[in-house]
Amino acid sequence: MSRDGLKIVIRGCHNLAQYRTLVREHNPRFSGNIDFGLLPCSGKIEPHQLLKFFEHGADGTLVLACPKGACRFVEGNLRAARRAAYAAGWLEKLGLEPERILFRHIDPEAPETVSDIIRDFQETVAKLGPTGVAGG
Amino acid sequence: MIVAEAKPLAEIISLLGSAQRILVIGCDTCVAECAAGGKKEVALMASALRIAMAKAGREVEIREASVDRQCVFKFLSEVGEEVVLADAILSLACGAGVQAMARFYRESVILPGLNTQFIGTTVEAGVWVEDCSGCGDCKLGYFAAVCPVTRCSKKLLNGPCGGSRGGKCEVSPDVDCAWQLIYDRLAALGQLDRLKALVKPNDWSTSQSGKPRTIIREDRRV
Repeated sequence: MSRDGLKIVIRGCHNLAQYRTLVREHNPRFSGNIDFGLLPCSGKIEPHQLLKFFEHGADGTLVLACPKGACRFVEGNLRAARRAAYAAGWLEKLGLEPERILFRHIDPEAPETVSDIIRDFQETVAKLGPTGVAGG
Repeated sequence: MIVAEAKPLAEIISLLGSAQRILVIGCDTCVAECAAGGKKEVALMASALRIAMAKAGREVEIREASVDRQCVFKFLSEVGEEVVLADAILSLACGAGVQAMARFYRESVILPGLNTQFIGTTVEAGVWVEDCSGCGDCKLGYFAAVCPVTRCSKKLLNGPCGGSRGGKCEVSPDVDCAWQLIYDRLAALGQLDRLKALVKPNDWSTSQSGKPRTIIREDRRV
């Protein structure tokens, strides 16, 4: 399915400069329906919020966190990773693919940019197709 | 606290049957602490049910509520308007909370969303262990506040059994030997002499093995 017809929700830590810039510029390089959001820390994300995105029509959710050992709140990014995995487990219980939730630590030094990750994730979700949940 | 965990989703959906208006109600005390039935878990369960129903092509209204303690009637009266609107109430409380709802709202269908497990302690974030069996004849005073009734696999009051290896129970290497813990704590407290006393068998008639238990305090009844 075309990525344009699918809804992606992205939530990331505002301390990720690359992602923060991208959100504030409302970067036009991305096609498709993307809901960008900034969190004070990735550790603010909760499993019920991730599931709520799918209830409201998301076909995929991406959580972006600071590198391991670099969280300003010490372990917020580690909590976020575990919560994303827990929510992915619930997707599986619901008969949806757990790959619809992707958690990534973002290394500012890595050659792969946030934009690359978003585009790759759009491709992944496009291959999975819509969730079949009303509004999705 | 009472420790519980969510029932399998398929079982919950089966219990809910053809209900069209569902109220998911949490309890903000014990089961909130053990992340099974607090406000966040109510939101998660409600979302999961909405997604499941939508995927099944069913139009079902699912509302959310929670009370401070589902096992206390005065808190249950706060959600009366929500309860009467629902065909089925999915309670994310312990078994006592579910039954308190059923006692208070006699005309409503009350269903359990959790499997109640034990009386336990939060030993670290996300880890809950069983510490108390509610036997009604507490012997913690003899055992340096380590309960052999609950934490010894053989419930020995005059242990250890001899099957302990490296401080672990022979039943499972994941289980600490309660008698090793008792010995270590008494030694640290300088009270090893306590182990010389024979402890009388428990009075199991006060436990769950007897009849359903009731406590009455006359001074609190008015």
